[in-house]
Amino acid sequence: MRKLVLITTIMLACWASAYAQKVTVSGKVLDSLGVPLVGASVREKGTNAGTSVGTDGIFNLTVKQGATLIISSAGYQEVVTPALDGMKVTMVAMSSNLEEVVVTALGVKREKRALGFSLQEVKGENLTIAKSVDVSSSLAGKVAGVQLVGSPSSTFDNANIIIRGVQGLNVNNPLFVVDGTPTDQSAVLMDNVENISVLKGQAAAALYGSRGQNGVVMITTRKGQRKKMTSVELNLGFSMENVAIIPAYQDQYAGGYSSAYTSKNSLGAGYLDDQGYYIFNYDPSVHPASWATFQGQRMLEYGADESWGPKIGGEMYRPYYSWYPGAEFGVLSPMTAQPDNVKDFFRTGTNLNNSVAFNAGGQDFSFRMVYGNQNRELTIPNAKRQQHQLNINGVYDIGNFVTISTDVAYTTHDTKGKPLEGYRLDGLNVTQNFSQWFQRQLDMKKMQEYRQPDGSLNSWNIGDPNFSSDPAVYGRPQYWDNPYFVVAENFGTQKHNRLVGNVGLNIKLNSHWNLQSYARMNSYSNENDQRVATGGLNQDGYSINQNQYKEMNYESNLMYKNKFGDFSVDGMVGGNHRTTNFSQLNMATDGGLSSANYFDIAASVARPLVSRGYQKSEVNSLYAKASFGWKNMLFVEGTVRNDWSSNLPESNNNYLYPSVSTSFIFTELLTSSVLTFGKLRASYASVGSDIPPHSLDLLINNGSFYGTNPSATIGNSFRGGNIKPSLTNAIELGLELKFWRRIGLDVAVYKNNNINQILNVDVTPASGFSSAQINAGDIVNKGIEISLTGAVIQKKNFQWDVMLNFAKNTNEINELAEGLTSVLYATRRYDIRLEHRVGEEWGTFYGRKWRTDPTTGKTIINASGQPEYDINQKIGTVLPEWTGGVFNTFKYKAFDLSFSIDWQKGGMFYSETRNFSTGTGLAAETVGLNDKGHDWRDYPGSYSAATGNTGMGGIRIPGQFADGKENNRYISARAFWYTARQRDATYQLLDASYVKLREIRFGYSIPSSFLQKTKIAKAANIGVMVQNAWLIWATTKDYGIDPSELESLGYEGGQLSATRQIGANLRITF
Amino acid sequence: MKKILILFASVSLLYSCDKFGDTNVSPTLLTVASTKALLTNSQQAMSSISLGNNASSRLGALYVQHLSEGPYPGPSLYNDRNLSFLAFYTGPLYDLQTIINYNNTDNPASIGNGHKDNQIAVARILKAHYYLLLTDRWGDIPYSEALKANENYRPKYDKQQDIYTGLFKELTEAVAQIKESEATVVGDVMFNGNLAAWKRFANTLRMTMALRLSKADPTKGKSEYAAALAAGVITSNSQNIEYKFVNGDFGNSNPWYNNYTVSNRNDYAISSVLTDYMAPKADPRVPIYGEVLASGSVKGLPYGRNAAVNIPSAFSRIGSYFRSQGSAIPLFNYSQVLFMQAEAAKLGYVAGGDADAEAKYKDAIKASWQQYGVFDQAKYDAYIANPAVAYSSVDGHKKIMTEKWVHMYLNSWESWNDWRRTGFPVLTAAVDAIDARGIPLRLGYPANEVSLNKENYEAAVTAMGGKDDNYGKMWWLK
Repeated sequence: MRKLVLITTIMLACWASAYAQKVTVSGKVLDSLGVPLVGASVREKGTNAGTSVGTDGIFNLTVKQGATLIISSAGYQEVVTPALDGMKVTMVAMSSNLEEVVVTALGVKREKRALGFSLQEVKGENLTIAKSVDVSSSLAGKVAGVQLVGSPSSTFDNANIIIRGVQGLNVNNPLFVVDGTPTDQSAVLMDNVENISVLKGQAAAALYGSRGQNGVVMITTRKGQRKKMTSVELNLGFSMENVAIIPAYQDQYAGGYSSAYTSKNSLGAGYLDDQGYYIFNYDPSVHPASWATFQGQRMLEYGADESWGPKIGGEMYRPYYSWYPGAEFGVLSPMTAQPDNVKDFFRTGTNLNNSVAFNAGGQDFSFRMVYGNQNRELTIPNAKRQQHQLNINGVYDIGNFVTISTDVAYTTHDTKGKPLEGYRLDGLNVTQNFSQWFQRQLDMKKMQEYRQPDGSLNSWNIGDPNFSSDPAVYGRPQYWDNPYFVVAENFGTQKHNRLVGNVGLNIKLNSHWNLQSYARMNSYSNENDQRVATGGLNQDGYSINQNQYKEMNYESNLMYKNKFGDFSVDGMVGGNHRTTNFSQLNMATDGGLSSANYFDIAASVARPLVSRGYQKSEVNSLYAKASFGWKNMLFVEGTVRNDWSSNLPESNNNYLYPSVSTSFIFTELLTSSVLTFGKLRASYASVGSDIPPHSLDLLINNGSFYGTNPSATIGNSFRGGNIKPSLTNAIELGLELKFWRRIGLDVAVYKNNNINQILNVDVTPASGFSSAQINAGDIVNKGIEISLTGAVIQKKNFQWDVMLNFAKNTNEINELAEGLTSVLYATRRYDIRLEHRVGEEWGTFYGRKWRTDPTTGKTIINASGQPEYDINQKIGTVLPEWTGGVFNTFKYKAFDLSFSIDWQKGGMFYSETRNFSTGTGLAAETVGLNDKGHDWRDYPGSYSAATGNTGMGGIRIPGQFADGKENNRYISARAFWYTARQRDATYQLLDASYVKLREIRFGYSIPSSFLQKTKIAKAANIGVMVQNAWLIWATTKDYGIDPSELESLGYEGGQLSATRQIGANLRITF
Repeated sequence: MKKILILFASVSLLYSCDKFGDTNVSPTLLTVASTKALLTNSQQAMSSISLGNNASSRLGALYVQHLSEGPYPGPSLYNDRNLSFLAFYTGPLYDLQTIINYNNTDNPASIGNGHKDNQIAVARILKAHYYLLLTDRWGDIPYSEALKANENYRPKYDKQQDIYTGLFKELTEAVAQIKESEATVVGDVMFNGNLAAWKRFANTLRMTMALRLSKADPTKGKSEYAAALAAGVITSNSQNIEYKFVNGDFGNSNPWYNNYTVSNRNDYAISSVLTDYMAPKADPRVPIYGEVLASGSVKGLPYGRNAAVNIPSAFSRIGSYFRSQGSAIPLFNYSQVLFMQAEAAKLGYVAGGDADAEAKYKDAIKASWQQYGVFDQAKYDAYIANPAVAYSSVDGHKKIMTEKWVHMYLNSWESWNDWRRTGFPVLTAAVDAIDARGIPLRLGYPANEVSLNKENYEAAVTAMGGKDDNYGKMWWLK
């Protein structure tokens, strides 16, 4: 590495003086429609001097006086012309199509027409219109068949994507490859992305082996150019983010449980009033005499983390803080609604996202260095991240035959207060607090001071002063700490470093043979910690986790390319050796901290809990590829790969898999001015797969020592050690059409059979194990993908480009193991299960349903007024029926506007937010009138079968008793919303359909005439952008959940509110 | 440069290689489990799965109204229907089966951890204990074909009667298999290798099972009872069988301590059903059972209301006797054995009739007070003279079972077994019960058994009366 830099530096110096007695010519290269032919090559005849055409169609080249230029571009007839400054060259298409060159597996550039499988590419400028910081979300809607999973907008996390549905029984992410090196998307400096190729089918990914089974996202970074030039690009962005969607809360009822009671005497006479206020009852045996004056004051059930309390009407009452000693002790305040309390908690986040790139180049070298920097503060207080990224790319020719190259990407970030999601019992997810277990009347401003003057913590969720007069007893939080305390003191930090890079050698043996060798590394280290501060609800503690990962790939490929008359041959043989090492150390205090807020492992009161993680594996591979072309019209390609994996049993550790694909450009046989290009393609591929390391044998888990006695238990997964590699067989057919050379249509249909899967299937625990590792199954996914791209309008002053994607995928379970009819994917509350059942769709939700009478169709109500229910009822499926997106770019004179919209139809998810926001009376929908026209939150009164309820409140569920009589029993509002609804999964399982305006940017390019005058910059564009702009439609919008950003597939456990980022962006090239 | 060339050369040479040595061996994983470590773990499981306060293990205390729920009433309103038995089978039962398998195959992991017969016998007794807990909760369960790993992923559900027969046999044989003269078991954190105590444990277990048959098969019950008694059961409080926790060890803390003190959860309080019974009789166990509030009294929380209430300072949580870090969990104790003997006399399992029943009944109450450290002769005399307590031949059975229920506080699953079999103590179902059929009579099978072991599951449900709910009557209830 160091040598390489040294050589590069020396060569830079050498070339500086190599130009003399030359002139610079500048010209413009266009196609027959007048569109700049970006990337066309311009060479000086008889020398090695050359350049390529820039985005505006203009080239600059220094040549000898009177030189001849050769201008060429793939798919166009070569132009040989004298070099004249200010020349304009129009290129004529060689065949009927603009030849598109794309990046395929192993980074090999291919003419797209030759490909027999589907590959979709997104250019860098379309990816980052709103300066997205995340590869996956920048792909949303721009590639057919890509489904986004994860909640990136409001967190620091990257989203994940699923390509073409799920392969196998579990969701696996695609392989992310940056400049040929397998790594993680977090290694990507988004401003430096040239393009992203998504290899969707197995044929496309065959050369990546098992890791390409779920698709490959190939990211190519921008490179320097091999021409004498230096340039500097500046890309500055600033945005502000705010919470975009929160549940529709009710603001008419305060905290408490009164709507859970049948009458105001349910707690004994005098404890509740008609309105539902909890009343202070002076008790001389408990309270001091000075409290006698409090007798009869309105309070709340402060310990309730629900809002089934009194109607808010300006009454004077004792807020929780009036019970803490101090100036406000004993003071009554008016009860007022706080509709914006949750909104007020979240702040305006900021994101500074800047990068600067330096390019330098010469005839036989190029160099590019980019530094990027992000400084982001989230909407959750105290959450921030500082990130630095550095990318270096260099290419250098040693003599005429040898080229060395390198790509290096370094990322480091420091994070504090990363928000915690999911349903947690430790109280560290404040969003879960606000949307699931809260009191609606709480005033956030009042809560900001979470410590009392004496330093002790306070909380809104205190105990009951009716039964204690000691603030140390009743002032302790019941279930929730003050949220400001949680975010300020119970935070975690993360330090992350990642280095990804390669060193490459390319030897041009002759004009047909090429040898490429690469050493590639992907490595990272993390140090994460989490603190739980002293004095809160949870036992104080500290945990720290350190891990290191390193993957090395050594790859060599011998390539061959030739043409024999009408035939062309393109082939390679190669090999790869991969080693992966991972080690981790986890430590946590046990039994609390020895001193208050002493956050270290040394503070552990009991022996700290220590565990290690370890993974090591090696894979050796050999592969070959051969592609034959005939008349640039018919192509056939075959690949074959063999892997040897250390993760598999020694007797069965290698597996071979082939692919074959073909493409036929039938428009070569026609001449049509309308259908300018047409191609049919077909492919068959098979991909093998292994298992993670160290997972062949029975797992034995350590228990905690009992005194000096060690403790161990046999793991719950049965493993017999006798596992074969699994296989995916895929066929794909495709059609590509181009009309008027501007409108493109690409249709792909595919079918994958995932067989012999290495499954961890659930078995009855009575066997002694809850799951068993087996080879079995046939899981089929099939679908269709359509993408439409077009330069709809191409006028001089106005251009409109559109890209439309649509994909439909179905996953079905054809077969599991013999005798096995179902595999459990996930369990949720109330007997809700996500299962894969034979003959049904992948991921079907089963759960409870209210029981109905088969003849009358009415719900059967038991004597308590609650519905009867049945379990194991089919509710719906988790995967979407279809997905899609549209991406538009408009250019009018110097203005440009881009936006992308994506959508999903179908798919369900379990929502804990919806479950508890209704169950605890927080949601707006929990306010209403019953069928007597009376407020259902009022007391229903006692009930007898003959005369019904004595009160007017409560809710009656339409239905009949077991004896067929109409239900006449009103149950309390909470009994309905909390209890009855838990008996029907349709209340917790929600539709994930949505339409979303993901991002939008409006820009203005400063005219070059102006820039030339100022002589500062070559190009400049200023824009305003909105990221995660608008959830246009979703049935779950009112519940505060954005289904396009679920925290995991089919599940939301208390998700952070999605945010909208609005910002400005300035791009300057010097 | 040179390095790259070397690299290329070496990579090219690598491809013939399909040997990876010990790459796939992780240094952090155990490759074999010593039987002593398995025994320790299968005893530690008592804390979390069988007696502790995990979601499904605390149901017993709610069903027999030892405890009431505060802010989130649910289980005490009978809204839990299908409960998982996973932790039993995959946890201690399979670990114990492994001890037996290892010993039978002379696996090196069993060497040095006690004589083979002793290891097997101890594992059999403990297995019987867990199986009894299982069948008494769910009814018919996989037994004879269970714990066979990949040999049988669809074990049949055995009839409860057959399971009882099997367990009687296991316990009898295990006791006979114990060789006190040979090396005792290692890793035994309950009895520290005291083989006599293991015999007592087995016999007491057998005695309990024998009484359970008082309705379904009194003949067998009678003979097993006599045999168990003759073989030697607990005869003093010093022989009480309990699972102990370790003060200062957060890996071995009482689950109630974890619940109340570590996690600060205050979801449960002593039930007013229990305190209302005990307090008027000046029962000195009241301040042991319940937390003494600021007012100086123990206040029970009304049972079975769908009214969410906050507990701290308003109602008494369970007493510190039961929820300190080192508080033990009771399994079997002397008082309980005396109550069983009283009932056996009353039911005619043994000769002696009411006189014997009364004597054992009084001894049982005395042993209970002594166990809780509150025995006082004068108070005791007054207590047993209280007409509500004093034995009479008319309602002797009811009184025995009611006082036993008081004694069995937080050993509640066994009280639930007694209540289901005898109907005593007389309990009123939750007022706001979600299911009008009242207190559950069994637990529903795990919800996913229908997918995992369909045919056998369905056969078991049919045998149970066609419905997999909480009200099917298991064999010994009939």
